[in-house]
Amino acid sequence: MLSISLRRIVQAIPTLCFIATATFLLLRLAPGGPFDQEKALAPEVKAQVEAFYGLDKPLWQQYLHYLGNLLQGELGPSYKYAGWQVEHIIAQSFPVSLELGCWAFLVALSIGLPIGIAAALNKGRTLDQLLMPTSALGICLPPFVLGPVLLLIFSSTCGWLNPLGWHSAGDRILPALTMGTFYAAFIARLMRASLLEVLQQDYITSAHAKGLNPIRVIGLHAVRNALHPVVAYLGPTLAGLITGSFVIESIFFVPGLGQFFVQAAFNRDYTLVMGTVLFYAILIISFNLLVDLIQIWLNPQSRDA
Amino acid sequence: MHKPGNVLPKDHMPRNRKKSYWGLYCCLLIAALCWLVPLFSSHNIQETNLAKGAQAPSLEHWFGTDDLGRDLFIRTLAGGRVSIGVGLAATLVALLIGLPYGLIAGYYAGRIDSLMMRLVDVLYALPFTIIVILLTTLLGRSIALLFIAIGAVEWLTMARIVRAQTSALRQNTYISAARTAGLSHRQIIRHHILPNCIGTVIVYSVLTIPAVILLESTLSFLGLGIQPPASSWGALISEGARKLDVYPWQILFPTALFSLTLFALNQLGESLRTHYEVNE
Repeated sequence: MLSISLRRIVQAIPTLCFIATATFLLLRLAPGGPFDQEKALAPEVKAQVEAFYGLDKPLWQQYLHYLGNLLQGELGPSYKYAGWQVEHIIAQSFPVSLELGCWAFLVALSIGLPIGIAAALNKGRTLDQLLMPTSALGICLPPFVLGPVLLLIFSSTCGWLNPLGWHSAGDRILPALTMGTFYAAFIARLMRASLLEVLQQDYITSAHAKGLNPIRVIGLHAVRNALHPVVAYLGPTLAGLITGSFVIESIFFVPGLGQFFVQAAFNRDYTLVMGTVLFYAILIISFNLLVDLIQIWLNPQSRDA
Repeated sequence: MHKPGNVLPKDHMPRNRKKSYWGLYCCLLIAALCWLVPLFSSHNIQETNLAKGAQAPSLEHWFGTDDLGRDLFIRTLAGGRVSIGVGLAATLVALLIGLPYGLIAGYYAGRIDSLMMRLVDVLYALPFTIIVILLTTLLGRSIALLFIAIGAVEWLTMARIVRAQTSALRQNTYISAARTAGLSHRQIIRHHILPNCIGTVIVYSVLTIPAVILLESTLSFLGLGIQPPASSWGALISEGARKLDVYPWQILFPTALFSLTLFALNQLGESLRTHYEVNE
């Protein structure tokens, strides 16, 4: 396991370099700069501000300078949030996205898995025929559709929950539900398909035949083995939940990293965009590694692959 | 394989054969509505009428009007043109890159394969949505760029699937036979590999369309996709979401049509999957 982790970490380095370079070039190629405003700054003021941040130097110098700072773990100052270092912005807003993502993940699992298992065990019967179209519907209700609808029901009409903000425990409910439902639908379908396949295996028949308690057979033998493909899907899901919360954050005004990223891209806040992109990339790579390790633990056969 | 009269176990019966086409009919109907109705309507997408701003659905304006008094029925249908159009175009881009890429990697195997798939793995590790958001914010907001950006992301899955299929197919003895008979690699790919993975390709292409529509709408919802006065379902839902508690119909109709389309497309993909017996 250690050697796999080490190899993957080494492999990640060129990926990250590629991302850093591509993002850097893309940002500089894009029209507009961080200090272009509707009311233009006086040329000499703008020149001074740009000189302060080193934006007047040739591009290759800026690039090397940025990489040098990066190696020392510095992401540079934000251009829009004066006085803020990018790492501080990430440190402050990421925990919010992380918490939201984890709640949504819990929602997705606690809705998706039981539905998938129940549907598989009742394949072809009424419960299955009821649950599966419902989960197909879940896939057609992406966050930006479900979010406003939930807002309309629970906060505008019933007045039970706050429509915006991130203060009380209740503020977590709607965003997590909105985000989790979409993924729950995928998990349910995957779990159903996988469990159905496992249930046809000979070892399930023999477990039943030797008189094991059916609940034990399902819980211990079938579900555990059926989890493999689900776990493979969970890695990208968790990464997606934590990094992909732009829409949720903008619907419910959650002060997470996604908001900062979208705003920074609009504002041409070079350092903040680059910092966020690299941060997200590292997160996704680590999640994929984590999932692979869990899979090896669940299924030692895959160790050779 | 099965003798006549030999009844298949219930689990293996193609139960859905009969109803499997409704997804297709539904998609065709929605597409026809989106393309044809605006041609014959008395309203158009641009025509504003402030005196009739934000009206509830009526006989004259079936889906109501938006704040500028534009007819939402026509705007929703015209928005559908953009959403479906981007879905089809980006899927085509994904297909044009992913299919040959996967065929070549899977067929030639060995070093070429591992090099090509390593590149796909590297790109897979990138934060997709983030890259698309970055591309669309930075390089302007043209529709062409939008679907190139989305297609450039979606081809990866297609390449992986085609590659897996191809590398399984090339183990077959009929491929060695074709080689022995003196067929060139190109001929083998065209006449023996491609026809055998076409089912998988069709299924995943159809399933890519709703994924693209979803991505486009997400971008438009964030204000990064289609720009006014043009519109797409994502942009309409975004506008409607802001006035949700005052004028709920502004979000209701675009959302309904959007979700119905996704549902129909997914259903079509699933029935094609059953038809071609492609596993998940």
